[in-house]
Amino acid sequence: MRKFFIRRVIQSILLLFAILTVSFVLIHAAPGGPLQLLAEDPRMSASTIRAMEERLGLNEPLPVQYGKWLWGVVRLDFGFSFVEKRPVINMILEDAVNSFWLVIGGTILGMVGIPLGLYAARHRGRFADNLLRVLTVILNAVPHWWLGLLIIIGVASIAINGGPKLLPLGGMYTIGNDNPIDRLWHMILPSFLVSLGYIIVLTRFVRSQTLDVLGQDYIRTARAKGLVQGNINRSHVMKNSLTPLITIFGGILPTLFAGAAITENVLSWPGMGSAFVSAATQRDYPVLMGITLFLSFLIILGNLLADLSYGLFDPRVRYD
Amino acid sequence: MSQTSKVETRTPVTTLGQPSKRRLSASRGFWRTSLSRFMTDKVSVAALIVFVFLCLAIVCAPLVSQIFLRGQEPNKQSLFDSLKEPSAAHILGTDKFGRDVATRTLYAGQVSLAVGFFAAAVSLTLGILMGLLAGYFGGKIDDAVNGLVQILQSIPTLFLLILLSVLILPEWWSLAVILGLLGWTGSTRQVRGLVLSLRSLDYVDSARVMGASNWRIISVHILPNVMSIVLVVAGFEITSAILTEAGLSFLGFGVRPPTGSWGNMLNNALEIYSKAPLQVIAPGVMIFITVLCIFLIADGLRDAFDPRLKDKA
Repeated sequence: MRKFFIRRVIQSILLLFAILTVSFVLIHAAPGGPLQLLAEDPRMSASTIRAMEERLGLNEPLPVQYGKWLWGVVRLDFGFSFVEKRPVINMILEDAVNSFWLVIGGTILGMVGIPLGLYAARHRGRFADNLLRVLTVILNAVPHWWLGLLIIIGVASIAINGGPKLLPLGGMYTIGNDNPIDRLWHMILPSFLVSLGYIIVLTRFVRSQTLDVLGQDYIRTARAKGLVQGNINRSHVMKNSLTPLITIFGGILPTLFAGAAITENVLSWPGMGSAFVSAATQRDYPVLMGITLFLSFLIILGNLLADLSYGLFDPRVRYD
Repeated sequence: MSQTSKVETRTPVTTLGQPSKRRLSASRGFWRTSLSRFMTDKVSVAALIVFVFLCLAIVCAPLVSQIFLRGQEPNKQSLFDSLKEPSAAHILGTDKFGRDVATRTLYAGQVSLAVGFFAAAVSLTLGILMGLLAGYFGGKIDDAVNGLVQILQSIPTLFLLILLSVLILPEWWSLAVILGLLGWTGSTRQVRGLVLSLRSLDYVDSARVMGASNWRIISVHILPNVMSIVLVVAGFEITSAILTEAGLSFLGFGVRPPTGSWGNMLNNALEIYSKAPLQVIAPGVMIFITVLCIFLIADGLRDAFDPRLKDKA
């Protein structure tokens, strides 16, 4: 087991290294190099650009630059934003907190998928199971951000026609009225949209896991020795079918940050997705690179933790 | 896969009297059986029919628009007709630039579908190749492919796509190529897993014993048996490409205007949804119908190829 841990950690570090290398190549393969945006500005003279290159070390040989950049990135130093003129990591952390709230909200709402999956498995082939299956297929085929657009249109048209304003149309809080309840109110719709993907995955996963467990011999044995179905469900079915969820959480959580990007834009939620899109329109390369790398770190870390914790929670898992 | 286990169930030939006129009934084969199984599933067949109609309408957009939509052009602006309500002249109204929303939705389908299919073609080709190599040869090649897969899966795709789109300003086809180049990991995993189990089967060993080259074993004995899974994966690759393109174009980093795609039609619609709600609804419904149909077809195919899977899905 120790061996597995060590191997897995080394693997993750190598992965990180590979991704960093790819990113470095991407930045420097960009037409015009990292300072292209500034060079396009007519107020910038060639000598200013050259001075900047010197200050940022862009005229040094590439391997030296690579080493320095790598050393910086490892310490989460992603450089300075061209547009906002401040360290990229500070911007990322601010936005990440906002995205984090969304992900938390989505995760909590997404938990609905667990009882749904359990219920569907225990009533396989019945009406509820089929209904759930149809719903998950439909929800999988709709872009969730488009659903968000539709809901906004609906809410807006109700409000315009004199009805109550059921939900806010975007943003994180009402300007001038920033209290916790107002925040929660603003979180409802975006968290719901984020949770949709979650619910689908969880329902399907829990359903198939539970079906798997229900078909096992020990369930039959439990029933044969006269255990009440409720007890069987609690102590045998749920325990065994829900443990593998740990891997799912580790894998999903970081991708939720990424997946929420479009939703954040639709609802003008000031998270990493919104920041990334506005940085992209302004071609603020350090911010773009920083956010992408930051999310990659999260994904690698999440997968690593999921793999490592899996063995701790499930005694059936053996490492070779 | 049952394709290889062709059971020859011949009726006993009667030598006495007249020879039976019935054709010797050999097994119908894997593909035929699967097809007939697919055809018995009503939902899949309905999805297939809807999808074929949809594709025909979109491919023959000029003709359809000539017959039903007064032959309007998708990119012709007419600022006097800006943001008109639905009427006989414009069934779904007009957008900000006075372009007919119905016509635009139809033509946008060409771009969205083309991106979806093209991207899936690229990612499948790459995915099958990588999966075959990794699964068949194993060892260092397998490790290398796995490494690539892990790298790609650890980078948030949408963000990388936006970044690339800013760097190289892609056309629709280069966008499809990029989508394909980033999206092959799923099919590689599927193909690799299958090849791993096929590789150790007796018929592959016997082919090797008879002196077949690796190339021959892969192309003649393994590839055909992987194709059924590839067909199912293809469906999911197409839908994910269509959805990703829609999201990317919606954000303004995919297909660039004036060429319309379902995604970038929604991009314009965000500012004016109170005046032209249909402009938001129409492209989204098209995405929904297309993706749903392909999903159902792929699902039906999976069940048809391997009926045992049906309950596990």
